[in-house]
Amino acid sequence: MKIKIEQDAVYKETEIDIRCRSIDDQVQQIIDIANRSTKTIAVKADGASKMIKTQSVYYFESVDEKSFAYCKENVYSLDMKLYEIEQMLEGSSFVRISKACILNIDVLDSVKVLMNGKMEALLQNGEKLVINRHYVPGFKKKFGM
Amino acid sequence: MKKDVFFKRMKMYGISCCISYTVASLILSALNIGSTLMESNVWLSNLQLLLVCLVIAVLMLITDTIRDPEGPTSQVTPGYFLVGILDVAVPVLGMGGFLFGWFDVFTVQIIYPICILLVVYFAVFAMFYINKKNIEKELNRRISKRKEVIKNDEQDN
Repeated sequence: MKIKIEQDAVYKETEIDIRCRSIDDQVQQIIDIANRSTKTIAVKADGASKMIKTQSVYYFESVDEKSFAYCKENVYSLDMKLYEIEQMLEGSSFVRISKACILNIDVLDSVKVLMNGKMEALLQNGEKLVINRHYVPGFKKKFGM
Repeated sequence: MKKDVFFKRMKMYGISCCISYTVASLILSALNIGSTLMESNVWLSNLQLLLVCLVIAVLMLITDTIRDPEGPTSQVTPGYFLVGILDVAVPVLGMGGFLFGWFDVFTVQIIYPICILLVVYFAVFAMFYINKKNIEKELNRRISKRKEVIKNDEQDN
């Protein structure tokens, strides 16, 4: 694999271009690493806005038409709708698991297949989330299955 | 009901039809019941058995769709098992007993097909359960692998 770096003051923003024949495991890993270290999202904490790394978010949830970002210890509210967050996080380690929830698969500890076609995701903080059967194929696809 | 859900359901009950036909054939052969229950000719008996399995699959597809239009399987409750067993029992006792004359429905002989249909039903259920467990195992293997990659990446940084 060739790595080409162009350093010039004319670039206002750092940009990563990946040219590949297909997205294999190695390329996916590079995409994941880039996403993990670069993407941020604006959240509200105690009335003030701040930027947090999306990778620190365990999951996004919509409750009563309001969106929330659940991190390891904190919960932040967001002005964005869940579908907007989903669009923003396309191609990252986040995946929709129900109508109201987008999960970060990097914080998964394990999954359990339930007999009703749903799945139960156990997060690293001990929380359990249900993956609705409609979203199970998308979830499995995220793991290349 | 969405097209993809319908096809997923069709596929699932198509597979269940094949499994139940295989399991039923194996049980009948192992117990050597075929010679007494299906005495006419093997070709016709097997065709009848396949037809019963097909009707069971169609019945299950219909009841499952009525019960839960959104997905391929429903909540596993005592009611789920009861409806499932009824889906199997009606074609076996109705078609096997009355139409094909495999056994006499009004004598104690009926206990044998009932036992066989219960074994077949739970064998098919077990097959699907094992398949789900395999998917779970593979997903957890991939999650562990991913966790290792992230851990190494964090250590490198």
